[in-house]
Amino acid sequence: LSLYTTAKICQLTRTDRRFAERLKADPAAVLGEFRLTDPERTALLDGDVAWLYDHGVPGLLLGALARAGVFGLTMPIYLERITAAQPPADLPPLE
Amino acid sequence: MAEVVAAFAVPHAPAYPEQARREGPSGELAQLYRAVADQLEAVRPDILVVMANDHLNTFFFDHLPVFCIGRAQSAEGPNDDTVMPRYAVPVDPDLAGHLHASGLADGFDIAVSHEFGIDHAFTVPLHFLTPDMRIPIVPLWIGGLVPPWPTADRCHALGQAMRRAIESFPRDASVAILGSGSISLDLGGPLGRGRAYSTTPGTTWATRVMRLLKDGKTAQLLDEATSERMALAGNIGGELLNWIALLGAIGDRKATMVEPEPAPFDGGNAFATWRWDR
Repeated sequence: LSLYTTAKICQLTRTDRRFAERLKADPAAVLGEFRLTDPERTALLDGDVAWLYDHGVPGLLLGALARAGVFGLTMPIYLERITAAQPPADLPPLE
Repeated sequence: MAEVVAAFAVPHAPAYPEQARREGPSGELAQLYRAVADQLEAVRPDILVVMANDHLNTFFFDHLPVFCIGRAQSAEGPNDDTVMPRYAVPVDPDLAGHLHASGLADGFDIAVSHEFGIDHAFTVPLHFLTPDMRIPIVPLWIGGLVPPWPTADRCHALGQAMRRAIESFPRDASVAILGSGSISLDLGGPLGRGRAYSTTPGTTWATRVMRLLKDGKTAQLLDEATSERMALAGNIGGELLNWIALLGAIGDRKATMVEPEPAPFDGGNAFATWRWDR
């Protein structure tokens, strides 16, 4: 995964309103400006936040996609989809 | 020579300034920060070394230090969208430079930044504790946000190195340590089980940490605060490392105050002070 590139797209969405507006208006065209693998591009366009999370994009950044309403995401949709991500392995309780 | 005179640890939740403003000075949140601020005012430190983590606001994946010291004349913040006043915070560049050089000589490859903003991890605690921004700070960023995190042992040893460095600083100065961060918090991860974007999946762990702080059982905390355990407290659970570095800087001391955050919050945050006779 191009963690850096996908994270950067999230970060631009988080910090640059004009970028977020462009991304919302024409996501495929804007993603075309970045070097992404096919699975990364598909995950972004599908709003597959669980896949992105499992491949290393922090929730702190992914939330920006839902707040900006890009890739078909809203916060309720985000919250529903992120449950499919892999949680950390459980540990035995402390004594 | 300088000395470490006290330590304080508080949360930096971005929602807190607005929540406290709505509740007013008699609200529980404001009162908890007030209790810590009173202790800070009693100590009257000359400098605050603030141990905190960035939230991809000052740093990003292009340059992401594990440890970094800010060495400038001042820093502005918050450089994020936290709803709170914007501050220019004075920085002590001499102590910052000394901590950086001493840390390197002591085996810690700490990065340094000479121009930087500070995010809510710094400005929220300072907003409540020193709103007049009269005490210069030295920012020490600890990379507990994006895995892989440094280990608890390493952060504790860093705190010990910072104490040695402070004690070799060739200027009379009283230095307080301010740790900033949550014990349990998850932002947008699966541990939230779809309930909310911000959740507290490790309240049992937070209670456990507070108990160990009250009892001064730092060695046990270091044993238990594995990366796996902190991750189960949320994808922001590594902020505990800021508290652990603080513990390294003050030695084996029991906290003189440890209080959980008030309702309606879930108890993943705590307020603590460490005072001792000088």
